Formats: sequence, structure tokens, C-alpha cells
Amino acid sequence: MIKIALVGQPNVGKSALINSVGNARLKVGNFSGVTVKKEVVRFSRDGYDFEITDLPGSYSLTDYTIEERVTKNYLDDADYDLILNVVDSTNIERNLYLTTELLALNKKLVVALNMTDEAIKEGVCIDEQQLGKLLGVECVKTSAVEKTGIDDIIHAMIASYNRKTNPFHLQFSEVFEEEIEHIVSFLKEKKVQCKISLKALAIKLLREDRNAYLRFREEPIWIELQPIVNEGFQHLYLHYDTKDLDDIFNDEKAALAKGAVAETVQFKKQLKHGFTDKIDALLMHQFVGLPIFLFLMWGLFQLTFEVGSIPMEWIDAFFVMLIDATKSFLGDSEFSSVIADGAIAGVGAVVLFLPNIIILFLGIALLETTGYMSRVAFLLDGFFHKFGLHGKSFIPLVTGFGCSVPAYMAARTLKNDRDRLLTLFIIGFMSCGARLPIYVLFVGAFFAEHHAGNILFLIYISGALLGILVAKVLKMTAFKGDDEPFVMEMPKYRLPSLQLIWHTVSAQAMMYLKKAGTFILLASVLIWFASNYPKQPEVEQDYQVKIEQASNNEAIQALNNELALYKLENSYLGMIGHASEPFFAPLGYDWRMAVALETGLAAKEVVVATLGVLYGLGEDNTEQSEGLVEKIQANVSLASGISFIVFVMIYLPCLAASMVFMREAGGWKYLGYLFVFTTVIAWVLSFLAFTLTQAIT
Amino acid sequence: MKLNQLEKGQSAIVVIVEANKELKNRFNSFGLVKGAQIYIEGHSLAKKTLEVRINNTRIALRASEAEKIAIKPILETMDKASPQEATNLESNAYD
Ligand SMILES: Nc1nc2c(ncn2[C@@H]2O[C@H](COP(=O)(O)OP(=O)(O)OP(=O)(O)O)[C@@H](O)[C@H]2O)c(=O)[nH]1
Ligand SMILES: [Mg+2]
Repeated sequence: MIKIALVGQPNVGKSALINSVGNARLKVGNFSGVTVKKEVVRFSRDGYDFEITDLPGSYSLTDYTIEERVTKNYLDDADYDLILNVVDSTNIERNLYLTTELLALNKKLVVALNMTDEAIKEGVCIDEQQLGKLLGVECVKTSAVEKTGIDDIIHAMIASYNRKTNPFHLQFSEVFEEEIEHIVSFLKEKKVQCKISLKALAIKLLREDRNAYLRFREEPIWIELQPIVNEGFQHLYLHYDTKDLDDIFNDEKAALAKGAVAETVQFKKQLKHGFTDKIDALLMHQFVGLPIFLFLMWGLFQLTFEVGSIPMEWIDAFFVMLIDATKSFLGDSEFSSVIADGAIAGVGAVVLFLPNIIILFLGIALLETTGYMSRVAFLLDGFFHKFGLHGKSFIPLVTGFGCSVPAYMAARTLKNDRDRLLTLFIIGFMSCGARLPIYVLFVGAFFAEHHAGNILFLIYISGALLGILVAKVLKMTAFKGDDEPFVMEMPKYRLPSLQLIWHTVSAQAMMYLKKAGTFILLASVLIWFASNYPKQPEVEQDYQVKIEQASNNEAIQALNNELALYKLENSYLGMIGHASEPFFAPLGYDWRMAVALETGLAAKEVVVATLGVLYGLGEDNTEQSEGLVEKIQANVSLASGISFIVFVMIYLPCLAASMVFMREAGGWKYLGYLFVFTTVIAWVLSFLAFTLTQAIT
Repeated sequence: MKLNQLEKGQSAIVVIVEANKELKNRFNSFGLVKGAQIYIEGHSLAKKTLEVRINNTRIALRASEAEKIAIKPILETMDKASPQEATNLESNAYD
């Protein structure tokens, strides 16, 4: 098996390349920091098994942010056979900085000159043979989008893997080489054993690499080694006229890269920026930029509701029919009820919102893949800064509109721990896709159709604004501290291919459906049992007697309803609901809504599933079932509905997200804070919303 | 003169970057080093955040970071590297 570490600067197409090479489906997006944790892809080609580890993009091998640390630690410690360095051909000089650092590690290395298609358009001609000779490694031109050079890169990796020797090819300036040589000869004399070559080790020592020093600090040889290294430093300081080792090393890297580019790259056209410039003149305009963004968001929510509600009606009708058909097919039995009222009603309530989810994810996918995301982060930085947030926080926050789990992970790109924690705490205020069904349901039930899109937009925007306000409060109290610098690369605009959009959106839609078919199905059945047990045989018998004695149909009907309600209220779920009713009563919820919120702690989709099951069971079974929206209209008042929406906007994210939050924040403690903090805010604001709406109407 | 004092559309040569190690390293990896030519693409409201370009790299940075970069403005705005001309050429290439 060939183990490969995939390394490169951010946004050069590492993940896209692996998707093409290994037929994988890694997440691809047009901004820096799409990949934040290592992902492994395995495949076989030409009789070899490959295991490629996609690492977060890194501008250089430093350890300032978590993702950079992931990459650096992997390269230092993990067990891999060769490094595949992906390079953006249109920006080669800057990309070669990192390549020189990788060369200094003295591992087997293959360079993929990616984005060849763009390089051709921009008139950048690279002589890859010559460059390969210069760097002492094989360079291959590839395009992840047009799928060119894929076979070549595979062959290059196999050839490199099979090569026995691995000469150190990197040549620094004379002064630098001299100092390296000094240290190497000393290490050689002392017969120091090392996993990496002695030259690579010497370079690490001269770069003040922490791990390299830790390795020697406890050994007796250190006493002799230290003066030699120190002498090296003094020579370098003298020669470069600075005491900043980073400066010295950066100079070396820049000189190497510049030299390589001068010898092997031709720029056939003058650098042009017109296309991006023209779009930016509008989208990043200091006055109209933000309004345009808000308008686009508004449009997205209009679409989500307007277009999404068309297939929704069919899906709703389909599940209502399915429930009725199942019941008439299976007869009136426990089994029929668990299938129809439990499983189908619960899963149906979730699947119902698939169209809305797809539109929302499509919007987010466009934001991520066109290059607009970083622009909005730029536009919002000033505003965010006022509230103690970092412009880069925008990326995890927007991701949060899709799902909180990747959003918590995306916060890793924030360097400062305080900024990161602050962002983690407010990600939950960005309503995730799973909350969308609840909003669509309640907004659809209480507002006229032509307002619904606006209300939906209002919900998301006010959630986001609230989050930002909360950030300000947190920044002034819990997370006091200095501001972090904001420096971020702006990608060029790229038209995403249909295939990329399709992959991104369909993967998310499938995940939603899969969840509906597994987790939600299970939860719905559980909820059904919890709402049908314990059985009350005596009460049932009492009612049976009463029903037999009843004089007319109406009385029988009334008794039947009474019995159904009694059973439901005295079920396990009913007991839980009633127990928590006092807590929720001031907010205007009946016990079913209380239970729905509680089950929503497991997953937000379960809220609609629970409502579907609970409002379905309470009604009389002989009549034809109604759609979920009608049930809500019949059972919930406007004030309670609004208050419910507010609570859902704010309270704790689902179990999966909470676990990821805990891991990323660093302990149970933080989850406890988050729980208390979100619950209090949710309660207070819902109470206000309920009381105000009641007062007005 | 500092980078944040430049106006949209102006170019300059970087004289020195006076930031802490970390930030300097980051600038460095974008090619923002002594002697680099830098061009102001635009800025957000009240010049809080700037967008600059070095070669083929566009970066966004706050005014407070830009303050740490000393520059020497290039006065003749209509020279070869001027964006106006590039834009004109460009329109043929992408239309
Ligand atoms: N034209 C063109 N675009 C490409 C090519 N390879 C990748 N892209 C685009 O470049 C962008 C970045 O691709 P990713 O694969 O996410 O980049 P990455 O290197 O994994 O980025 P990080 O995970 O953030 O480090 C996406 O918009 C891709 O569609 C290519 O060969 N040609
Ligand atoms: Mg990636």
C-alpha cells in the first residue's frame, strides 16, 4: 500500500484532485479552509493500493492555527511513503515557498501542477521537465476540473514510491549551506540516528523547530551541539543583518522560488484581472455590496418557501394517503398504528421538507463554490469587528445555516482560541437546515403565503443578528481580549461546474433522507411507543361500558375522543410532557409542544416528527387524516406558534452537534455553559414573544 | 507612508513590514514582502477593510494591519502595470 500525504496551499484544488484521482467525494469549495481535518481516501490503480490523506491547506509549515498544526504534525510524525504537493499553476511562485519547505523535509515528493486549464487561459507556460530537474522531483501538469494528467500523476507516484534512493536536492544559498554542513558533519561524527536525513534535521535546528529541539534537549550530546548551532545562528545574523530567523529563512525560500520561476515559467500574456475586477466593482462596492448580499439572501428564502412548497403539497398528500392506505390495509390494530401513526407519520413529516432543504443547500453551495463567500466575509468584517467577531467567523457561521456539525469544525480556521470559542458559542444562533422544517411548518400554518418567504428571511436574519449581539456581550464579559489580525486570501471567481454543485447538494439531500430513513424512523417508533404505553385496561373498560350504553352516535364519538386523549395524556410521553409543562406554560405551549422541543434535543428533525405523531394520535381515527399544517392550525394559537419559533431558533443544537461542540470547545464544562446560556435566552425571548403577540392580537 | 493611506486604484512598493513574527510570516507567504508591488483593489465602508493585490494574489486585510506596512507610492498611475489598461485588454479576453 502506498501511503500518500496530500499537501499544498489552501484552495489549490487538493481535494478536487483527489476526487478526480480516487473517485472520492471530498468537500470542495472556492475559499481557503474548506478542508479542516484530515480525510483518508483509498483506491486501487495499476495494481497498487493507494491511501491518500487529504490535509488542510497550509501557506507554510507553521503551527499557528489548528488546521495548520494538523498538517505540520502529520508531516512530522505520521507514517507515510510520499508527499503529493499540489500547486496552483497560476500562482506558482508563491506556491513554491511551501514546496521548498517540503523539500527540506527530504521525503519522497511528487508535485502536481494543478489548475493547468486556468494557467493556459492566463498564458502561464511552465516547463515541467525543467522545473522537475531543478527541484529534483517529478512535476506533473494536472487539472482536477478537466480531469487531465490524472494517469500521469498516478504513474509519477508509483515511480517515486519504487525509487530506492532519495537524494537531498534542495540547495540553499552558500552561507546557509555552510552552516548546515557544519551541523551535519558534527551529527555524523556523533553517529546520531534519525528518522529523517541529517541534513533535514540540521535545517530544522537552524529554523528553531520546537520538535527538533525537544528531541535533543534531554540528551548529553546537547551540550556539544548547542554551541555549534549557536555559532551557526551568529554567522547567519551577521550575514543577513537581522536576528529574525523567519526573515532569513523566508528570504531563502523566496530566492529559491524566484529562481525556479525565472528559469522555467513564461508569462505569455500580461497579468489580467478584468473579469474578477468587474464583478468585484459591484459585489464588493463599499455602499451597495452589503445590500446586494442581503437581497440575495432574501431571494434565497423566498425561493425556499415559494418553490419548495410546490412539491411539498404533493409529498404531504402522498404521506396522508399512505397512512390511510396502510391503516385500511392492516386493519385497526396495534401493528397498523405503529406503522402508520408512528413510522410513516414521523418519517413523512421529515421527508416533507426535502424540497426546502435542497433549495437552501443549493444556495449555500453556490456561495461556497463561486468565491463569493470570502467577499462577504470581507464586507462584513467591519461590522463583525464592532461586535467582537472576526471577519473569518463568517465562514463557520454561514456553514451553520446548513448544519452546525461542519460549522463547529470550520471554526478551526480561527487562530485565536478566544475568537474560536466565541464563534463556537454563537454558531447555534444560525438556524441550521434541520430547523428549517419547523419554521416552514409554523410559518405556513400562521402566515399568508405571500408573506411566508419574508417571514422566513426575518427568522434567519434576526437569529443571526441576535447571535452577533450575544457575541458582543460575551466578548465584553467572558471572552475579553485583544483583536486578532484579519488577513485573508480572496480566491478568484470560478463558475462551479454543474457536476460539483450536483455532488454537493445531492450528498446533503441523501444525508437528510438517510437520516429520515434511519434515525428519524427509529425515533418516531420510539415516540409512538412512549405515547401509547403504559396501557390503561381499566380505564378502557370503563369507557367501553359507557360507549355501549351511549344513546347516539355523537355521544359515542365524544367518548371515543375522550378516551384517546386520556390514553395519550397518561402515556410515558404524556407524563414527561406534563412534568415539564409548568416550565413551558408561560411560553404558551401545551405538553405536546413541550415534548417536541425535548425530543428535538436529539435532532431538530424529530420536532416535526413528534408533532406529526402526537397531533395525529390525539385526533379521531375514523375520520380521514389531515395534513400536518392543518393539524398545527387546529391545535396551536398564533402567539404560541411564534413563541415556539423563537424557542427553536435559540435553544441547544442537536445531540450530534452538541458532541462536536464539546470536542471543539474542549470539555463538558462548555457544553454545560452552552446549555444554560441558550436555554435562558430562549426562554426569556419566547416569553416576550408570547406575551407581546397576545397583547397585540 | 503606510498602506492604509493609499486610495483605491493606487499602487505602491512595499518598503518594510513591521508586524509580529506570525503576521509577518503570513504576509510573507502571500508574497507581501519588502520590494513587492502592491495595488489597492478596493475597500469596505469607512476604509475599515482593504482589498489589495500582489501579483496574482488578492488579500483582504484590516486598516489596522495595513498600518503596519510601510510603502512608497508609485505615482505615474498610467504605467504598464496600470489596472486601467489591463481591464481594457481583458474585456476582449473574456467576452
Ligand atoms: N479551473 C480549475 N479549477 C479547479 C481545479 N482544481 C480545483 N479547482 C477549483 O478550485 C477550488 C478549490 O478546490 P479545493 O479542492 O476545495 O481546494 P483545496 O486545496 O482542497 O482547498 P482547502 O481544503 O481549503 O485547502 C474549487 O472551486 C475547485 O472547483 C482545476 O484544475 N482547474
Ligand atoms: Mg480541501
